[in-house]
Amino acid sequence: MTAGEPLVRWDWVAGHLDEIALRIGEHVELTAIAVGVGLLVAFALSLLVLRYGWLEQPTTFVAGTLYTIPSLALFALLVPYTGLTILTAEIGLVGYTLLILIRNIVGGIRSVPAEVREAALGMGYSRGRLLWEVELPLALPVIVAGIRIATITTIGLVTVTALIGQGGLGYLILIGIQRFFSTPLLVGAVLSVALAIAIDVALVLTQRAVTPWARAK
Amino acid sequence: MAQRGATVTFEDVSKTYAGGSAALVDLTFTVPSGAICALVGPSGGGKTTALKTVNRLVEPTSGRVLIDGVDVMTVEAVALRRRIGYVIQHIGLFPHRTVAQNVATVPELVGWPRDRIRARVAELLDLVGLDPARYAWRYPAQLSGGERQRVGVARALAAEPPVMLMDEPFAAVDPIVRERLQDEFLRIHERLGMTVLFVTHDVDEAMKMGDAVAVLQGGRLAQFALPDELLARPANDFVREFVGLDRWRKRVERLRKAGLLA
Repeated sequence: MTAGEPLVRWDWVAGHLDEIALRIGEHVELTAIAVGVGLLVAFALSLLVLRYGWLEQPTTFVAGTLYTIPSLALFALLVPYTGLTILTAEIGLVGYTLLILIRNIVGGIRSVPAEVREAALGMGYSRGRLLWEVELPLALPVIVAGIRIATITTIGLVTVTALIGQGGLGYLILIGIQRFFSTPLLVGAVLSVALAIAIDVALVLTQRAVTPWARAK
Repeated sequence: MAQRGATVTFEDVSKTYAGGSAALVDLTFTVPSGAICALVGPSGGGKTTALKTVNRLVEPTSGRVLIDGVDVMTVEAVALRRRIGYVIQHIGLFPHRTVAQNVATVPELVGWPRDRIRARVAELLDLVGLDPARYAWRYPAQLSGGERQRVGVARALAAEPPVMLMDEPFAAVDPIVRERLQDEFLRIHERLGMTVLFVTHDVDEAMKMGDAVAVLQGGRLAQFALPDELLARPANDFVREFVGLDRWRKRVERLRKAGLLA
């Protein structure tokens, strides 16, 4: 950074609003795909774990191991196979969501009181309806808690995928680092944090709206 | 709200678990249509297991359970259960549904039209002594223990089941509320006339609620008799002991209540 240069040059920000908007859009898209696909995969795996208890250990082990791999290393390892593509980015991002999502989906469904399940079966619920109409709604607060953590983690990780050419706010951070120019670096970092907070608040509000019983006391 | 009962017959019903332990051994007795049969005995005696063979939450290893002559194992489990009311000690109300939605559970499962469900819910809440205007929109977390039990009973009655299974339904509430719920339930039963199997570990409750009492011990039927007969002629030492050493006092009390003794 050149001496005498202000920390943020607002004229640069004003001149790059289109690009900033584009990067936010990319960031949201990368995050949404990762959490969405992660949720589908985690949901399927959770159902298997709930059905076949012995799968829990291996599933948790694999998801836990994935979670510990440094993101830079993971992307670097994937590039020879899947190239500098969105697929590479998403494989990594989805992988990181699994541990938290599986744990919360399984835990949430297991926390449904036994008597509620027994009453439902006794009144003639099929297994499928029991899951969709009783177990999942009651597990929702725990599942949403998992989605929140997975989303915040993913938003942070998406800044790294700029390194494999996938854009997002990480791209601005990268430019800042490469050019010793603090403005885009700060804009990228601050917007990434702001995005995480905004989406988290949105998730909390959505959860409150769909679980009115949780507040009834 | 006329509703009739169905005859429930246990025919040599046995249940043996994989480990070899026998939960039920050759259980045979018949509950006539419209009667309340109390199943009583020490814990582990097989009361709850016997009850659950009726709605197939437990499937017998041998023998048959018949409802109006039809073996329950020949009826699809989900369809069978929708025609049998079920109340358990911890009720298991759905915490995420309002009182009205809870009561509407089985009518919705079997696809009643909306208007009929709405009318039925109001009727049932009235029947169990809960003002629909005050209670319909509440969540279970907003109810007292006694109110939850009432909702549980209303929910079990919703689709006019000819048979109702109750597993220690009033055990979790305090004695005063319990007494009131018992009286109310007897009044409801008098109006609706469904067949009831009522599990309890409390002899007094069994005597009060049961038109007939089945005493179970170690998975076997120790005695199946009218309450008075059980007091007057216990089949063996176990029943004599279980029914209580003060059985004569109870008998005198019952006769006095019935106006047969000054």
